[in-house]
Amino acid sequence: MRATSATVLYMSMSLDGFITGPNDDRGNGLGDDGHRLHDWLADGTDPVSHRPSGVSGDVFDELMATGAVVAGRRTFEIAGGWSGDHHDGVPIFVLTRRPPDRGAPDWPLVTYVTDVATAMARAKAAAGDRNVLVHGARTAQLALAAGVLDELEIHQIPVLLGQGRRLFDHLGPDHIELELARIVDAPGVTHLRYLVRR
Amino acid sequence: MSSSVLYMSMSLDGYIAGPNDEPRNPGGEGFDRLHEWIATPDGEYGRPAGPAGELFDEWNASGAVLAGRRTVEQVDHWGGDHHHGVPIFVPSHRPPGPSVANYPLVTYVTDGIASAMAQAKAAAGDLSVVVQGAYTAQRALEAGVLDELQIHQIPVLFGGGRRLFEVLPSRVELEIARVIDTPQATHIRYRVRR
Repeated sequence: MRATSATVLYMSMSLDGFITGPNDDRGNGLGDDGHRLHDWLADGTDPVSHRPSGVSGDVFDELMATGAVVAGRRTFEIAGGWSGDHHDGVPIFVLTRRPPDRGAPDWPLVTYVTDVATAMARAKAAAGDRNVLVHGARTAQLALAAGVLDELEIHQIPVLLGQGRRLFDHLGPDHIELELARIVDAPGVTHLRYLVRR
Repeated sequence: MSSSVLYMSMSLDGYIAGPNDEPRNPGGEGFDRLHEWIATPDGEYGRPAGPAGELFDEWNASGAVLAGRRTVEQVDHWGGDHHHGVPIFVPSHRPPGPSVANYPLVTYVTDGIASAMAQAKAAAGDLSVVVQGAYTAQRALEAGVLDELQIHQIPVLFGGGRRLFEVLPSRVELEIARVIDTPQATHIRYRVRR
């Protein structure tokens, strides 16, 4: 990958481009059948860490070795804010245009940021020489448009969900060239790593 | 037994054609970007070197072609011969255009995708059927007559154009059959589970 810290989008996506099923709303955050996209994480032997077995475990370890998290508000709320700690006490930057809800838990690791470039810059500073984990479709779209997303790790799932929320939408007409950095051909998932070319 | 295989080059964001895809501009803007991998070592269109060449051989070894009307009209039925004189079947509810009278290998099938596929498989014998076209692929998936998908996934985000997979009425489970990793494209073969 790169010598210095990189912002890396990690998302599970169906072959037809969806990251949730239809009817994804509060209480059904992944949408109908959306859990199908995360079955590869349930393949593990460790029910606490969710670390999958085999080569997917190595990809999971990379994700968990990141030094900061940038997540969209929607992703953050669906995940219950990871109870304030995504992994290992690294800082979490939540991209949002709205102030936090009244009565939202006061989690010391969590910072709300309104601008994607600022979120990425602060996360990189916090991560030091480690990578930044990026989660969320809208956040990915904004980061690509702003030129502040360095890499993509797509967990491509062998299913056509047919409907739902797409990872790549609203990107605008200009091509964004990628460079294929690595493929991990695992049972039930193809991990595709891309560098964003600039 | 014959199996039906969709062959399509697709951007990471799911597009198989760029914007303004119409007969005067087949494939739309940027279409060539999705097919750069089909090039000889000299840079001409043709059989690529290395593992991608095997894919080229596979589709040239197929025994029939089933392609959507939009696809065939954009290339005027490949001049009547897709490869090696194998028959070409076009599912369509409308009668063919005038050029088709000159193409004995081309058959328009008016009674649906399942019938078209059955005729293509019968013609192919033991060989596979190459399926082309986004609309046709979706109808074949819905009708349960598509057996495999050979996706050439291209490392680019198109941002607009024509998608391979629009909304489908229900979930379709696949099985990863083979992954071929080249710098220009990731070639993933899926089997449709039934």
